[in-house]
Amino acid sequence: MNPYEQLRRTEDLPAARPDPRFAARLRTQIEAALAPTIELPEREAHVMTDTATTTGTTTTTTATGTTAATANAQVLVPYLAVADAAAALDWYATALDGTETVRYVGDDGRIGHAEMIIHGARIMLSDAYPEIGVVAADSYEGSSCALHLEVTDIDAVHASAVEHGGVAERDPVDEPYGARMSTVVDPFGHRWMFSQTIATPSAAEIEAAMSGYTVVEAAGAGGGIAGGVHGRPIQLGYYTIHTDDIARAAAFYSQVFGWAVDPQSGHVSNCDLPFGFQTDYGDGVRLWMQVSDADPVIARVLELGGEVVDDVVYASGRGVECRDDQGNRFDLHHPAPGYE
Amino acid sequence: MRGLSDEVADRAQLLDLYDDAVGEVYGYLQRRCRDRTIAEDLTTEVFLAAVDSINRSVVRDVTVAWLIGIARHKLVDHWRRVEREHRRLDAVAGTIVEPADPWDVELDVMTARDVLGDLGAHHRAALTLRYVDDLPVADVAAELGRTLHATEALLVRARSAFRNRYEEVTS
Repeated sequence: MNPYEQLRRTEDLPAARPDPRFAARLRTQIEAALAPTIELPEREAHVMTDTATTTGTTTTTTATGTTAATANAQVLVPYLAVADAAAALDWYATALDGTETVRYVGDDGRIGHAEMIIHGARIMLSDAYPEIGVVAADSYEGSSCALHLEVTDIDAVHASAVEHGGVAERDPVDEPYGARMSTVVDPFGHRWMFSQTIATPSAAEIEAAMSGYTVVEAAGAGGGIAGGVHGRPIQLGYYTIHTDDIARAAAFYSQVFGWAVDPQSGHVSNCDLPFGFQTDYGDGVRLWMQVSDADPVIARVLELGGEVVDDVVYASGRGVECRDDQGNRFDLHHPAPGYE
Repeated sequence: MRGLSDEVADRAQLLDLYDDAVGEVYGYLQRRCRDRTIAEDLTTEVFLAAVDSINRSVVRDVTVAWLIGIARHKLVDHWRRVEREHRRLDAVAGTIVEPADPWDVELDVMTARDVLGDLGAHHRAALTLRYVDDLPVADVAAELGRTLHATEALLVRARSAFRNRYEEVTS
C-alpha cells in the first residue's frame, strides 16, 4: 500500500469526546433554533434584585423551564434555610429523587436561592443568612413546620430517605383517615411527613375509627369523595382537542402558538395547562377532571341526576364520559401510573 | 412535495439523533483539526447549518452521515480561512515538485497524524479529503471548489510536502 493511503489509519486513533457541558449548551442552542420563529413571551427570566450588603453579587445557573412551569400551580412553596445548601441540594436529589431547577451562588460561596421539584412539589432553599435572621432548622431544638409530601409509593420514598441518613420518627403505617403516613427528619433538621392516599373515608368513617376526635369538614371543600382527606376540589387535569391528523395539527399550531406537539401521542409538552391533540375520542374539546378514584365520583354523579355515557380504560388511564343533570358533557380521568 | 409535517418530523429526528451525533461529528472534526476550541466551533456550525436546512425544508434524510457531510464542508471552509491567512506560505509551497523516486515506507500512524497537522491548511485539506476520508479526486475537487486538474496538481504538491516533512521528522 502506498504510504499516503496509509493515512486512512489515522482514523483508528481515538478521538476525544466532546465536553459534556459543550454538548449540553449546543443542544439548548439547537432546541432554540428549531423552535418556530415567532416571538413568544419569555417565561424563565430571572431578575435578581439584590441586597448587596448581605448577599453580594450572584451568578445564576438557569432552569430548564418545563418542570418548573408545571409546578407553578403550587402557590405556597416551602422555603427552607439550611446550614449547607449545596449538601442539602445533593441530599434531596439523591434521597428524595429531587430535580434541581435553579441555583444562585453568591460570591461569598453561599447559595442565596435554589429551587427543586420533589415528587411534583416545588421547594425553595438557601444557605442560612444569620445576619438577616435567616437561620437553619438545626439551630432550633427542632422544626415547627413539617413538609407534608404526597407520594405514590411511600414505602420506597421512606426507605430511600432513611437509607441516605434521614432519621425515621415513624415508619409507614396505614391511618384511618385514608393515608399511609411516615415521618423522617432529614440531616438538615427538617421534618418530612410522607403521605400516600390509600382510601377516601367519609368524616363519619374517620370519626368511628379515631376515638377522641370529631371531624368537621368545611362546607363545599369537597372532603371525602373529592380530594380525600385533603379537601381539595376535583379539577381539570387535562384537556384534549380533536383533530383528524396530529402531524398536521402539530405543524399548524407549532407555527401559530409555538406548541411542542409530540407527533405520536399528540401531547403538548410546553404549556402550563397540560393538554394534547387526539384523534380517537370524538369531536371537539374534552375536559378531563382528574380523579384519584372514579367510582365514588360516578356514584355521586348518578345520585345527583347525572349520567354516565361511556367508561373506557385507555393506556393513559380510565376515562369516564358523563353528563350533568342538564345534559352537558364532562369527563373524568383516573390517570394510569406515569400519566398523573 | 414535502410539507410542514416533514419539517416537524425532521426537527424531532435531529433532537433524537443528537446525543449520538454530537460525539460522531465532534470526533470527526477533532481528529482532523486536533484543537478542542476549533472542533467545538465547527461542531456548532454543523448543527446550526443542519437546523437551517431543516427549517428551510431542504433536507432529504436526517442522519449522522448527512451531518458528517456538512462537517466536511465546514472543515474545508475552516482550512480555506486558515489558508488565506497564510497566503505567503502558499507561494513557497507551490514551487515544490513531487520527487521522482518511489516512496515505500510503513507510516507510523501517530507521526503521520502529527505531520499532517504540521502541513499548510490547503495541503492538509487535500490529503485529508483524498486519503483519510478516502474520496475520489473528483469529489476532492468538488469539496475544495477547484478544477480536477488544479486538484491533481495540489495533491502532488501536498504529497511532496508530506513526504519532506515526514522524512525530516523521522530522520
